[in-house]
Amino acid sequence: MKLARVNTILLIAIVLINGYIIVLPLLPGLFFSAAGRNSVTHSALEAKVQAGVALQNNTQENRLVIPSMLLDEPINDGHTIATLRKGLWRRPQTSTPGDGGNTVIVGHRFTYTQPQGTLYHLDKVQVGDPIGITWNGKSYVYTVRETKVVSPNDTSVEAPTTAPTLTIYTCTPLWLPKDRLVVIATPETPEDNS
Amino acid sequence: MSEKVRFYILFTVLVASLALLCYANTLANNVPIQ
Repeated sequence: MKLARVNTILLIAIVLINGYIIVLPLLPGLFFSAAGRNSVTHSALEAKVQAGVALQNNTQENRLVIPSMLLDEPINDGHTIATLRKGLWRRPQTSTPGDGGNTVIVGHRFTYTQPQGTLYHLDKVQVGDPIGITWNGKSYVYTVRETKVVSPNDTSVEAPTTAPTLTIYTCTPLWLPKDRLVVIATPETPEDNS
Repeated sequence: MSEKVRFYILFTVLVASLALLCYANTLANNVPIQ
């Protein structure tokens, strides 16, 4: 009789653990669908980018804002991969928005631990979308020029550039992350607004 | 099926589920290009 109760508890634990494994990766997608690409949140983030992200936030905090994927997250600096546990990570050997060159920011596509799905929706970003960055209190607005998928050992995406460039990448595809999804943006020009 | 056999099966499935959870998280934790 006692063993029967233990078995019931084991069965419940199995259902909960497997439900967690299956359902959790689907949640960011469900929330994104509910919010919608043209929602108030999207418009608010786009306005934030155009107005200068620094005006809207604590100027001491470096932030990345991508309206098309409803992202508004702090950028973390650090010298080890452990920094990724905090969220977005500016790769230490790359440049910064203030210094020009190639600024590379990476993040997990999805994890079962915090933060969940920092760059989950990077595949929603399209050429022409605006991206805003606050860096050391100054605002930078970029426009997406290219999106591509590369192999995980294609170091060329992190190579220094002469022109100011913002490179953001994460794992792809979602369920079997064998490649890297890369978004490349350059500073916004007057033509981008015309 | 006796309760004892059912316990062994359920315990094995539980351990396998936990291992799957760890593996799934390891898959997602693989970002930097190198």
